[in-house]
Amino acid sequence: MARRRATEAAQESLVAAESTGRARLFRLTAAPDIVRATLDDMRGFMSGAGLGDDTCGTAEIVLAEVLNNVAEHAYGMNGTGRIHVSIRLDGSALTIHVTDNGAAFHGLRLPFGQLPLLDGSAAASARDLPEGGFGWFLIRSLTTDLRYERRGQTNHLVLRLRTTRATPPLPPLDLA
Amino acid sequence: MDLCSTRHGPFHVITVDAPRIDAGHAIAFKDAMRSLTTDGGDHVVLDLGQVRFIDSSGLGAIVAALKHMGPGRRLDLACLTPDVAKVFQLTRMNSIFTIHQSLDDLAPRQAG
Repeated sequence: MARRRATEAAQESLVAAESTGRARLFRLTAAPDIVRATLDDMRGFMSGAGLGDDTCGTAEIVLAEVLNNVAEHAYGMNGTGRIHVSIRLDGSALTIHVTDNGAAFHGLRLPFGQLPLLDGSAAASARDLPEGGFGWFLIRSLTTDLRYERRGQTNHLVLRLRTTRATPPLPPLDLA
Repeated sequence: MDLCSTRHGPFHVITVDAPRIDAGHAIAFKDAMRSLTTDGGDHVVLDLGQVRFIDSSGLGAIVAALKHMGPGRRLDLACLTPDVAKVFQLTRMNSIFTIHQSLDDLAPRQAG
Protein backbone atom coordinates (compact mmCIF):
# COMPACT_ATOMS: atom_id res chain seq x y z
CA MET A 1 0.00 0.00 0.00
CA ALA A 2 2.80 2.43 0.91
CA ARG A 3 4.57 1.56 -2.36
CA ARG A 4 1.45 2.31 -4.41
CA ARG A 5 1.08 5.69 -2.69
CA ALA A 6 4.77 6.44 -3.35
CA THR A 7 4.33 5.53 -7.03
CA GLU A 8 1.18 7.66 -7.32
CA ALA A 9 2.91 10.58 -5.65
CA ALA A 10 5.83 10.23 -8.05
CA GLN A 11 3.46 10.18 -11.02
CA GLU A 12 1.56 13.25 -9.82
CA SER A 13 4.84 15.03 -9.32
CA LEU A 14 5.93 14.10 -12.84
CA VAL A 15 2.67 15.37 -14.34
CA ALA A 16 3.05 18.62 -12.42
CA ALA A 17 6.65 18.99 -13.61
CA GLU A 18 5.60 18.22 -17.21
CA SER A 19 3.17 21.11 -17.17
CA THR A 20 6.00 23.52 -16.39
CA GLY A 21 8.20 22.10 -19.17
CA ARG A 22 10.64 20.70 -16.68
CA ALA A 23 9.93 17.03 -17.32
CA ARG A 24 8.71 14.74 -20.03
CA LEU A 25 7.78 11.10 -20.29
CA PHE A 26 8.84 9.25 -23.42
CA ARG A 27 7.29 5.91 -24.36
CA LEU A 28 8.96 3.89 -27.08
CA THR A 29 9.35 0.48 -28.60
CA ALA A 30 12.85 -0.95 -28.34
CA ALA A 31 13.73 -1.02 -32.04
CA PRO A 32 16.80 0.80 -33.47
CA ASP A 33 14.94 3.29 -35.68
CA ILE A 34 12.55 4.18 -32.89
CA VAL A 35 15.35 4.52 -30.33
CA ARG A 36 17.16 6.84 -32.74
CA ALA A 37 14.09 9.01 -33.34
CA THR A 38 13.35 9.14 -29.60
CA LEU A 39 16.91 10.24 -28.83
CA ASP A 40 16.37 13.15 -31.25
CA ASP A 41 13.14 14.03 -29.46
CA MET A 42 14.84 13.81 -26.07
CA ARG A 43 17.64 16.05 -27.24
CA GLY A 44 15.10 18.54 -28.55
CA PHE A 45 13.31 18.52 -25.20
CA MET A 46 16.51 19.09 -23.20
CA SER A 47 17.77 21.78 -25.52
CA GLY A 48 14.35 23.44 -25.51
CA ALA A 49 14.43 23.40 -21.72
CA GLY A 50 17.59 25.51 -21.86
CA LEU A 51 20.37 22.96 -21.43
CA GLY A 52 23.60 23.71 -23.29
CA ASP A 53 25.12 21.60 -26.05
CA ASP A 54 27.71 19.98 -23.78
CA THR A 55 25.07 18.78 -21.30
CA CYS A 56 22.69 17.67 -24.05
CA GLY A 57 25.49 15.77 -25.79
CA THR A 58 26.53 14.03 -22.58
CA ALA A 59 22.92 13.16 -21.76
CA GLU A 60 22.35 11.82 -25.26
CA ILE A 61 25.37 9.52 -24.95
CA VAL A 62 24.06 8.15 -21.64
CA LEU A 63 20.51 7.74 -22.96
CA ALA A 64 21.72 6.02 -26.14
CA GLU A 65 23.80 3.52 -24.17
CA VAL A 66 20.98 2.77 -21.73
CA LEU A 67 18.31 2.38 -24.41
CA ASN A 68 20.57 0.20 -26.55
CA ASN A 69 21.31 -1.91 -23.50
CA VAL A 70 17.59 -2.38 -22.78
CA ALA A 71 16.85 -3.24 -26.43
CA GLU A 72 19.70 -5.71 -26.70
CA HIS A 73 19.85 -7.35 -23.30
CA ALA A 74 16.53 -6.78 -21.55
CA TYR A 75 14.53 -7.51 -24.70
CA GLY A 76 17.07 -9.63 -26.62
CA MET A 77 16.66 -7.49 -29.76
CA ASN A 78 13.07 -8.68 -30.21
CA GLY A 79 12.19 -5.24 -31.54
CA THR A 80 8.86 -5.08 -29.72
CA GLY A 81 9.61 -4.42 -26.04
CA ARG A 82 8.27 -1.23 -24.50
CA ILE A 83 10.44 1.26 -22.64
CA HIS A 84 9.33 4.28 -20.60
CA VAL A 85 11.80 7.08 -19.95
CA SER A 86 11.08 10.10 -17.81
CA ILE A 87 13.52 12.98 -17.97
CA ARG A 88 13.21 15.65 -15.30
CA LEU A 89 15.20 18.84 -14.76
CA ASP A 90 15.71 19.71 -11.12
CA GLY A 91 17.94 22.63 -10.27
CA SER A 92 21.38 21.57 -11.35
CA ALA A 93 20.63 17.98 -12.31
CA LEU A 94 18.81 15.82 -14.82
CA THR A 95 17.05 12.80 -13.36
CA ILE A 96 16.31 10.01 -15.81
CA HIS A 97 14.09 7.07 -14.90
CA VAL A 98 14.02 4.15 -17.35
CA THR A 99 11.59 1.27 -16.98
CA ASP A 100 11.18 -1.87 -19.06
CA ASN A 101 9.57 -5.28 -18.70
CA GLY A 102 12.46 -7.27 -20.06
CA ALA A 103 14.96 -9.60 -18.47
CA ALA A 104 16.55 -8.55 -15.21
CA PHE A 105 20.23 -7.71 -14.92
CA HIS A 106 22.31 -10.75 -14.17
CA GLY A 107 22.52 -11.12 -10.43
CA LEU A 108 20.23 -8.06 -10.17
CA ARG A 109 23.37 -5.93 -10.39
CA LEU A 110 24.52 -3.39 -12.93
CA PRO A 111 27.68 -4.15 -14.92
CA PHE A 112 30.82 -2.67 -13.41
CA GLY A 113 31.78 -0.90 -16.60
CA GLN A 114 35.51 -1.46 -16.47
CA LEU A 115 37.15 0.40 -19.34
CA PRO A 116 38.81 -2.15 -21.63
CA LEU A 117 42.45 -1.36 -20.83
CA LEU A 118 44.79 -0.38 -23.57
CA ASP A 119 48.36 -1.55 -23.36
CA GLY A 120 49.46 2.03 -23.90
CA SER A 121 52.47 1.07 -25.94
CA ALA A 122 52.61 1.92 -29.61
CA ALA A 123 53.77 -1.60 -30.28
CA ALA A 124 50.55 -3.15 -28.99
CA SER A 125 49.04 -5.26 -31.69
CA ALA A 126 46.00 -3.76 -33.40
CA ARG A 127 44.42 -7.18 -33.14
CA ASP A 128 44.21 -6.70 -29.38
CA LEU A 129 42.22 -3.47 -29.53
CA PRO A 130 38.85 -3.71 -27.82
CA GLU A 131 35.73 -3.30 -29.96
CA GLY A 132 33.27 -3.49 -27.13
CA GLY A 133 32.74 -3.06 -23.42
CA PHE A 134 32.61 0.72 -23.55
CA GLY A 135 28.89 1.19 -22.91
CA TRP A 136 28.70 0.81 -19.13
CA PHE A 137 31.97 2.66 -18.70
CA LEU A 138 30.42 5.63 -20.52
CA ILE A 139 27.23 5.42 -18.45
CA ARG A 140 29.10 5.24 -15.14
CA SER A 141 31.61 7.94 -15.95
CA LEU A 142 28.93 10.41 -17.05
CA THR A 143 26.38 9.91 -14.25
CA THR A 144 26.59 10.97 -10.62
CA ASP A 145 23.98 8.51 -9.36
CA LEU A 146 22.98 5.20 -10.81
CA ARG A 147 20.47 2.88 -9.16
CA TYR A 148 18.80 -0.30 -10.32
CA GLU A 149 15.78 -2.00 -8.85
CA ARG A 150 13.69 -4.92 -10.03
CA ARG A 151 10.03 -4.58 -8.99
CA GLY A 152 7.91 -7.53 -10.05
CA GLN A 153 8.45 -7.95 -13.78
CA THR A 154 9.81 -4.45 -14.28
CA ASN A 155 13.34 -3.08 -14.36
CA HIS A 156 13.78 0.41 -12.92
CA LEU A 157 16.97 2.30 -13.65
CA VAL A 158 17.42 5.78 -12.20
CA LEU A 159 20.33 7.98 -13.20
CA ARG A 160 21.34 11.56 -12.47
CA LEU A 161 23.57 13.86 -14.47
CA ARG A 162 24.74 17.30 -13.52
CA THR A 163 23.55 20.04 -15.79
CA THR A 164 26.47 22.32 -15.09
CA ARG A 165 29.74 20.95 -16.42
CA ALA A 166 28.04 17.67 -17.19
CA THR A 167 31.12 16.20 -18.78
CA PRO A 168 34.03 15.30 -16.52
CA PRO A 169 37.45 16.75 -17.45
CA LEU A 170 38.56 15.06 -20.64
CA PRO A 171 42.07 14.02 -21.60
CA PRO A 172 43.29 16.16 -24.50
CA LEU A 173 42.31 15.19 -28.02
CA ASP A 174 45.92 15.51 -29.28
CA LEU A 175 45.35 16.72 -32.80
CA ALA A 176 47.85 15.84 -35.48
CA MET B 1 25.47 3.62 -44.60
CA ASP B 2 26.67 6.20 -47.08
CA LEU B 3 30.44 6.30 -47.43
CA CYS B 4 32.08 8.40 -50.12
CA SER B 5 35.61 7.57 -51.17
CA THR B 6 38.04 10.09 -52.69
CA ARG B 7 41.76 10.61 -53.08
CA HIS B 8 43.43 13.56 -51.43
CA GLY B 9 47.03 13.44 -52.61
CA PRO B 10 48.53 10.26 -51.17
CA PHE B 11 45.60 9.77 -48.84
CA HIS B 12 42.46 7.77 -49.36
CA VAL B 13 39.72 9.84 -47.72
CA ILE B 14 36.48 8.12 -46.78
CA THR B 15 33.71 10.57 -45.86
CA VAL B 16 30.77 9.30 -43.83
CA ASP B 17 27.62 10.92 -45.21
CA ALA B 18 25.42 10.08 -42.24
CA PRO B 19 24.67 11.98 -39.03
CA ARG B 20 25.05 8.98 -36.71
CA ILE B 21 27.10 5.81 -36.42
CA ASP B 22 25.17 3.89 -33.79
CA ALA B 23 23.98 0.44 -32.74
CA GLY B 24 21.57 0.24 -35.68
CA HIS B 25 24.26 1.13 -38.21
CA ALA B 26 27.36 -0.52 -36.81
CA ILE B 27 27.29 -3.67 -38.93
CA ALA B 28 26.49 -1.78 -42.15
CA PHE B 29 29.32 0.63 -41.40
CA LYS B 30 31.82 -2.19 -40.78
CA ASP B 31 30.80 -3.94 -44.00
CA ALA B 32 31.01 -0.75 -46.04
CA MET B 33 34.43 0.10 -44.62
CA ARG B 34 35.66 -3.40 -45.29
CA SER B 35 34.61 -3.11 -48.95
CA LEU B 36 36.21 0.26 -49.40
CA THR B 37 39.51 -0.52 -47.71
CA THR B 38 40.16 -4.09 -48.80
CA ASP B 39 42.08 -2.93 -51.85
CA GLY B 40 43.44 0.50 -51.61
CA GLY B 41 45.78 2.90 -50.05
CA ASP B 42 47.94 2.26 -47.04
CA HIS B 43 46.88 5.56 -45.49
CA VAL B 44 43.14 5.99 -45.11
CA VAL B 45 41.56 9.01 -43.45
CA LEU B 46 38.01 8.64 -42.14
CA ASP B 47 36.27 12.01 -42.44
CA LEU B 48 33.63 12.20 -39.71
CA GLY B 49 32.68 15.83 -40.32
CA GLN B 50 29.03 14.98 -41.04
CA VAL B 51 28.70 12.67 -38.04
CA ARG B 52 27.35 14.42 -34.99
CA PHE B 53 26.87 11.36 -32.81
CA ILE B 54 28.40 7.95 -32.20
CA ASP B 55 27.63 5.50 -29.43
CA SER B 56 29.79 2.66 -28.08
CA SER B 57 28.71 0.44 -31.01
CA GLY B 58 29.82 3.09 -33.47
CA LEU B 59 33.13 3.40 -31.65
CA GLY B 60 33.58 -0.37 -31.79
CA ALA B 61 32.81 -0.37 -35.52
CA ILE B 62 35.48 2.27 -36.17
CA VAL B 63 38.01 0.24 -34.17
CA ALA B 64 36.98 -2.85 -36.17
CA ALA B 65 37.67 -0.92 -39.37
CA LEU B 66 41.14 -0.11 -38.06
CA LYS B 67 41.78 -3.74 -37.22
CA HIS B 68 40.66 -4.80 -40.69
CA MET B 69 43.28 -2.53 -42.25
CA GLY B 70 46.00 -4.77 -40.89
CA PRO B 71 49.66 -4.10 -40.12
CA GLY B 72 51.51 -1.45 -42.10
CA ARG B 73 48.34 0.45 -43.02
CA ARG B 74 46.96 3.50 -41.23
CA LEU B 75 43.45 4.63 -40.47
CA ASP B 76 43.36 8.24 -39.29
CA LEU B 77 40.30 10.24 -38.24
CA ALA B 78 39.39 13.77 -39.26
CA CYS B 79 36.87 16.50 -38.48
CA LEU B 80 35.48 15.09 -35.23
CA THR B 81 32.42 16.98 -34.04
CA PRO B 82 32.19 17.73 -30.28
CA ASP B 83 30.04 14.82 -29.13
CA VAL B 84 32.03 12.36 -31.24
CA ALA B 85 35.33 13.69 -29.86
CA LYS B 86 33.86 13.35 -26.38
CA VAL B 87 33.28 9.60 -26.81
CA PHE B 88 36.84 9.04 -28.08
CA GLN B 89 38.33 11.08 -25.23
CA LEU B 90 36.27 9.51 -22.45
CA THR B 91 37.20 5.98 -23.56
CA ARG B 92 40.85 6.99 -24.22
CA MET B 93 40.44 5.59 -27.75
CA ASN B 94 41.65 8.91 -29.13
CA SER B 95 45.15 7.69 -28.31
CA ILE B 96 44.78 4.86 -30.83
CA PHE B 97 44.21 7.12 -33.84
CA THR B 98 45.92 10.09 -35.43
CA ILE B 99 43.21 12.75 -35.42
CA HIS B 100 43.19 15.65 -37.89
CA GLN B 101 41.28 18.82 -37.20
CA SER B 102 40.38 19.24 -40.86
CA LEU B 103 41.08 17.73 -44.26
CA ASP B 104 43.14 20.82 -45.08
CA ASP B 105 45.71 19.50 -42.62
CA LEU B 106 46.31 16.65 -45.03
CA ALA B 107 47.54 18.85 -47.87
CA PRO B 108 50.97 17.60 -48.91
CA ARG B 109 53.71 20.16 -48.39
CA GLN B 110 54.42 22.07 -51.57
CA ALA B 111 57.97 22.30 -52.80
CA GLY B 112 59.28 25.76 -51.86
